[in-house]
Amino acid sequence: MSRRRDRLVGFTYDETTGIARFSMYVPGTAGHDRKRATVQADSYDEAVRLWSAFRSRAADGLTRPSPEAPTLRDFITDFFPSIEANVAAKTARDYRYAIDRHLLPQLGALRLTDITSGVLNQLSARLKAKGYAGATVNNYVNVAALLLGYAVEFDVIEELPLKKKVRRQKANEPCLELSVDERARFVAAFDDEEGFRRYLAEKMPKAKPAVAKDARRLGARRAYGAGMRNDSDAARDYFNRFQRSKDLFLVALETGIRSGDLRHLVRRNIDFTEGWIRFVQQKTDREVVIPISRECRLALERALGDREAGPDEPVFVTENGVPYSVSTMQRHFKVAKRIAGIKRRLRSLRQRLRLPEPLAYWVDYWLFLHAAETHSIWRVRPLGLRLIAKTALVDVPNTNAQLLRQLADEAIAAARITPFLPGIPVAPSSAPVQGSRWHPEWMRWFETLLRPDTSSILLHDFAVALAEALETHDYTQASFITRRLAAELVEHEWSDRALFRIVKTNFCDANTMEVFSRAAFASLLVDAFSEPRGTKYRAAIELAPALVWPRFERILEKPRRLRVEVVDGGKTMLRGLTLEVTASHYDEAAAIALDELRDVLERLRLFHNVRTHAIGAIEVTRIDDSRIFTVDLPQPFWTAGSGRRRDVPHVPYYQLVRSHRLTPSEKTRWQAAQWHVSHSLAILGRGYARRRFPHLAGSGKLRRERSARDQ
Amino acid sequence: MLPLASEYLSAALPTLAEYLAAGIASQSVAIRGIEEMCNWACWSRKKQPIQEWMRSVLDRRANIGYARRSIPLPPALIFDSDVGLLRVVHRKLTDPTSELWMESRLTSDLRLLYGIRNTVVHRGERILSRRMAAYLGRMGLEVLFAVMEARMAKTLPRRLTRQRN
Repeated sequence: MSRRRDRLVGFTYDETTGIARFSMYVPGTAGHDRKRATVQADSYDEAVRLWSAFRSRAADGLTRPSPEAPTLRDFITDFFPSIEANVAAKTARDYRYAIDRHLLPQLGALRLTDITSGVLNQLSARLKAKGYAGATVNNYVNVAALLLGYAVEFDVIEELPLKKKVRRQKANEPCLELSVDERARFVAAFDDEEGFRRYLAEKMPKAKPAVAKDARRLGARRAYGAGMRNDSDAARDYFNRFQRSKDLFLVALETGIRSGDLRHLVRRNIDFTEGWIRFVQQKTDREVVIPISRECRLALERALGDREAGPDEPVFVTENGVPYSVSTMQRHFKVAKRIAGIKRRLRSLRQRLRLPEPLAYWVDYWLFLHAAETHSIWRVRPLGLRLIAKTALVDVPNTNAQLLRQLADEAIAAARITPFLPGIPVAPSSAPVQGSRWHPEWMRWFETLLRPDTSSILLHDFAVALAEALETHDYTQASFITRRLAAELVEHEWSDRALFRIVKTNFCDANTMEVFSRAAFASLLVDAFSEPRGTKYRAAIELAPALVWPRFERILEKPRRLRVEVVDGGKTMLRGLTLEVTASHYDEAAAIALDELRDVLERLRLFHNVRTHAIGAIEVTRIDDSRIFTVDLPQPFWTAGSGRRRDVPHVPYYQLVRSHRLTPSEKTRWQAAQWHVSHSLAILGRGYARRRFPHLAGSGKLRRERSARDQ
Repeated sequence: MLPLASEYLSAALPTLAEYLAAGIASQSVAIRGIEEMCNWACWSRKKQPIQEWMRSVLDRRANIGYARRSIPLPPALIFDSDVGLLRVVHRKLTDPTSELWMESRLTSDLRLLYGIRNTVVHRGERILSRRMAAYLGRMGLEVLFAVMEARMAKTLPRRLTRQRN
């Protein structure tokens, strides 16, 4: 027997029998753990290759693959072309990335039947420990599980080895919506040629001066590696190409269509007459119908304006007439964001974390006072000095003694703020009410408060006093002044939502105060709440289309312009709502319009059983100069999703009524009371009833139960 | 009507505390979601009662106390030693004779609500502003429903009071 021994450690190969024997000590076990294998090899080279694979497996602590099931690596090699054929090209590319980058290096040597739930859970934990986001880890684990599913489908293994639940990492939901200002800046970036040229000057690589080899011949120094000059003709052409893609991004912002769908949108998907975009989504294979807003319509018309597009031709094309590529779209998106100065992810929260401490406290407290979820005992109490004065002088009948006494107590409590407000006289020291009448001194003081100029004096004094309290970190005093300030602002008829948004926008999102400054804070506060009111705005809100009774407008108390269309069969389709409101800021106009909208939606739901909701952004037009602003529907402050955390109080549920504990008479009284409450909530509107007491207010289930009982 | 104020407070205070604790937890998740560090100790309903958690996090010597968990700086609105909302609720829960402004405010609101109701019913006129009326109406409903729910929870079997989903 001729046996060939080589100098490879732990390797022997017998050429006559074709048997190779391997042996190695596992590194890091101090010689305690030894691995051996015997394999059949046709040649010495083949044996060395197997020996190499054996060593790498042993070093990684993996066992030799069983002949019963292929390894993941072999499976991918043999079957990935079949998997690829089943999915879209991009999906296959994403699978391939996950496989090459993570699955094969970590699981490639394992046979498929050994990739159990535990193995995937370990993979998930390892990736998470490396710092991958939860959603990313879940994606990779999903791909692994999906490959095992394909293995079963292709009869490579008998059954799925995942017998237990695969652990899911907590995924962070995206919260990257543009703010109003960011949206405006983003859109304006496409027309900002100066900004574009500045971007080129900053971004393009600079030339590296060097003496060229042929410098002597050319007679000059040359520079290498320079990018596009910002004042060149090429830069102008580049800007024109960039500007041309504006309509593409406008439609994306207005409709939320995925980028792939948008790039492949064709002319026949758009119906300008009906006002729809209708297409089948690539990702879900589902048809979607999206209403066209005014801005979206203009952008689409511009995109199609310079050519006669056939029904199957793409809507958005480059100057060469071809659809935008992924890379071009991404490049233009990055350039526009850079010009617009948008750098953040979840900007509000990041901004909040960077606020200086006194300002952070005040912003938190203000938002808490005006947030919809806050319990009533903590909410702002909209009873300011001027409102008390007005009520005392004008409204309260002297016969209502109890109310009079309570208002007197309120006046004393509110007057505690006067030492902080040097601009108004100190409250009288006498008791406010004598018998059933206001004391004359208090009446004179109330008259002083109601002078036209007092409002601005109050605001200024409040701002100065509040800034001083915050600067000295006297939060008790600052809280008191903040509550009184919020109460005083009731005379401006700002809604809670508007007060919330004004502070969030001016003091958090747009704040540049790195160190708290008393003067800057006071100035900002006065500016935020003393903008001249009286500007007329027109707010247009798109609604999810709903069929309505032709003369349903009668249910509305105020004149509102509902946008309706008559569709096939003479039915009336509600499409939107337009309101004219008076506000100091377009943001406030949108907030007022939303409050009005809730009232309308409640009435539609209660009286006509029509359920609809706002969609898209609110378009606010300033009537005097026709400037158009787009305001997104309000989002929670810094949470993803609804952000709702509060378990609110509710009336006893219907099970109580059906139980035997109530007599028929009690049941009747209960139902009558419930009807009255629901009706009053419906009139109160303001969204509170809908959010807080969804089972009341004539809900569909109650109605069905009631009608079934009646029958 | 006025005795409802103290009854409402005894029913609602634990939910006030839970609301704040849930807010801190969701805030902590959101901070980690933007890849910032956050070492705040959050409350889990399954792990411990709310009062126990409050006692721990408000204790300066405790390991999970917010005096020691300062990445990022905990909001003064919640934890400030004087005006922090969680401390206020904790004080009220441990000593019902403290923080009497709560009863006082509720009583005042209920009196105002009764007053504007009488004015509307007897004279057919509205007083105070629309926002104040909305605030009082909402407060009244909240008090009524919370008290009803608390009374039901005491007297009825759980299956009759559980929330429908």
